[in-house]
Amino acid sequence: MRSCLRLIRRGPGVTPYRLHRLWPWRFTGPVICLISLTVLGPAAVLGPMAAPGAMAAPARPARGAPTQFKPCPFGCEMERPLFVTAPLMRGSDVADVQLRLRQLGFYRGEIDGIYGPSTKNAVAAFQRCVDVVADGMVTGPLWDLLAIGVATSSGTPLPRPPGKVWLEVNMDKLTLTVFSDEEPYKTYPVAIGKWDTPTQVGEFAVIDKGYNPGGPFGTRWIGLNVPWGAYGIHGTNRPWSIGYPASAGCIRMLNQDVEELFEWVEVGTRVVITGSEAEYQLVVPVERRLKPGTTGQDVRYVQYCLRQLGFDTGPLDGWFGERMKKAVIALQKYYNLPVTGEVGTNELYVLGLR
Amino acid sequence: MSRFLISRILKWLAFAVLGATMLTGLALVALEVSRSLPPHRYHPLGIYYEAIGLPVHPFLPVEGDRQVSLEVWSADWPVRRSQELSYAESIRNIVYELQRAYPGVSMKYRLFPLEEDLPSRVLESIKTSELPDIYIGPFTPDLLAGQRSIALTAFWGRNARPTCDTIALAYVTMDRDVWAWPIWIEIPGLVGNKTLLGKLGADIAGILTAGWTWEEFIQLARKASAMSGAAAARGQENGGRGSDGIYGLVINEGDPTWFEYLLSARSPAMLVKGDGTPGLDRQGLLDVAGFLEELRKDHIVPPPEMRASHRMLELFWQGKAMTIGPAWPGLVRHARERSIKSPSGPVRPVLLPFPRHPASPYSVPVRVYAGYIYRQLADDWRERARLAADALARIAHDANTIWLMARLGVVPADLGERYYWQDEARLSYEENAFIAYSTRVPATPAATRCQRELYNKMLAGVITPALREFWDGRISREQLMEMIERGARDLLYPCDNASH
Repeated sequence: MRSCLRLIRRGPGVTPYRLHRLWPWRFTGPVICLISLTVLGPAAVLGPMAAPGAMAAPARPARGAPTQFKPCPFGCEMERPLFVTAPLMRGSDVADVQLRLRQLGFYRGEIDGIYGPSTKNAVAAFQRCVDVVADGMVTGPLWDLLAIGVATSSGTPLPRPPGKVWLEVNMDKLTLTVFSDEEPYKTYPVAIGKWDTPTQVGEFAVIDKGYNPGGPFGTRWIGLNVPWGAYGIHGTNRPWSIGYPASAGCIRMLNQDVEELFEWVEVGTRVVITGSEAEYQLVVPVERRLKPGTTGQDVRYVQYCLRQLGFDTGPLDGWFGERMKKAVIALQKYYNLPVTGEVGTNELYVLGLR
Repeated sequence: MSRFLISRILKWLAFAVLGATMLTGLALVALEVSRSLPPHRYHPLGIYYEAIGLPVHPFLPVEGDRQVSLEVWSADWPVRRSQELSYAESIRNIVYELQRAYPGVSMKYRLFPLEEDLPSRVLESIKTSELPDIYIGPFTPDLLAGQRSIALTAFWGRNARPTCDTIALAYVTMDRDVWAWPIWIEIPGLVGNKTLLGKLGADIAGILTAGWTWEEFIQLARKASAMSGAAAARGQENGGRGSDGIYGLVINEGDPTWFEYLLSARSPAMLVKGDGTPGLDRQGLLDVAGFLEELRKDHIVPPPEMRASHRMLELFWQGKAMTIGPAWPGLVRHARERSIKSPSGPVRPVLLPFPRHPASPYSVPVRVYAGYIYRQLADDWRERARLAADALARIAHDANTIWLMARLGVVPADLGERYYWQDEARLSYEENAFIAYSTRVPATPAATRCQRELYNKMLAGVITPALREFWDGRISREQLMEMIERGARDLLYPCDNASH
């Protein structure tokens, strides 16, 4: 029997939901009733999320413009009631639960992000331990109970850095370092994306900030201008995941750490995300003509290649802006190509991408 | 032998050894003393001075505790010395060496990214009078700032000049003064598909030794076009879309120097005569127009609607272009790097000279990169200028500059430095032959500033736009000549006219 609820992944950072209807005329009455219950039950719980069109990523705010806080719903973090379904629920939130329960000794299985019977049993055991109804379901209040005993801050608060602030996220060390005028000022532990939902490497900027997003976003949100998804730095209600690759692409921090950082950064603060696997993540096919205004991972890769040749494109942020246009023009003049300001076939040959 | 004789011999031996030791010691002392003395006539780096009658005294060291800081503007070339060392970091050695020679002198290198058009920036600085001590860039009379530019002739005696290539020296000499220190020469050409040329029966060694004429080039291009035959015809019918035949020449038509090469290939002094009087070689212009018409025939060049220049490299590396150009060092560098990465690829590039008119000796206008010295608005400008000349000499001879020239694919202007550059550049036999041929009969620029300005005005303001209209098929040959002659009448004037 097919399920009537399927998760479809459309790309990193965006996970839409879609309802599929079965073929009811093929089954007899009881089966039809069962199917109806299966359809209606989750639909009642999920509510507006089941509506078509809810999968679209939130519209990107204009650069630099003041924005009303809107964290990416199911863009980079997920929170939903977790329970055993058929097929089994999968996701980073499930992995978070498994990680915590393993830390507490209730779960001994693999952290695979699949909410199966063993995960359910571990949840039930934990619920019994904390005197709540042992139904094996993870809902809102249980997340807070899971977080009991985990530190909410990594160190002593410090005054505001004296110089110009920029951030570096090191995906190998799982740290976020605040720099003040090229000098490291403070380092925080973070959680980054898992291998299948990686945090995006590159050089970005803070695009918006928000208070108290709640739930998996913790107490603060610092949005980044990644063109192909909604990524950011935020707090968390899963502090035990800090120090692990656990998120769906965002950078998680402990709530008190992100509250401190929130006061130091402004819209436009530079954020550099690096890692030893950076180059691997950067390599994508470039199959279209890139013009000023284009965004995408292919733009980021071309920015990287231009840099390798010695041309300064500005940050590796996947935006074909004015600075990148100047770099492309300089490349075209240097290599005696027609000067168009766009990346076409000639430029791809020079960059070694053809 | 008697004992007396032996003792005599030993005594003389002892005297000889003692004398040799004393002489050696004296020589060392003399050397040390001579080093500490100011140089009289020769600078260790080859700048030859004459001490008499110069506005800038070349020998005085920086006195006392005076601190002098020289500012150098240069492009930040897109090369890396190693994985960690960028060009900017590698030039620290030059600064260090200058500070060792003159402890009171520091040098501040200001590198501008290629994205920033440095010659335009210098032009603006000339207006605002905020000029550096030294600027290194392509030589053009526009970047001479009148009274603020210092001629280097002051540092070169009448009878002694640095070992500079005559071509490069000619480019930086106007009105009998040397206005910049030549550092390197850029020689344009065409990048040819050696594999395809071999199949067409071209004698590449012969082309590199004696050049090739327009007629020879067209014959080979027609053969190439015939090889693709039906495909090219289909491409022509489809307006060039999805073609693709084999083309004899794919040109970056946006490069304004393309027409200048054609004119030089026909006659070295097309626009301004040797005596400085304006003149147009009418027959020469007609010949150039005829050559352009031949190129358009028989699919030697792609049709304009194909916009082939936007796919120039794709056509070349897929073996569908016999030659591409104009090939300045950037394009040559790309061809070289790609052939190194894939040495067994189907297309092997070779650098070739432009084809020339059979009646003309081969000549090509080169580009000379040189160091300009600007006078500063301070009382110690003479001393700064002298130090700037010294610094410029060091920059031109530094190992990093030689390495840079090898990476950029340019030729050192100093004949002595070419020896070291050869080791660094590791040119192939064909590249060496190309340079030797191209520098044999160079296009010599006009001797006076007035003549050069006239030449540039005619080329940029009249000839190039007219030839472009003709190339695009918008005007006929007769209209081309009329357009040029009308423009020349409005623009040209005798260079000895005092009112100009």
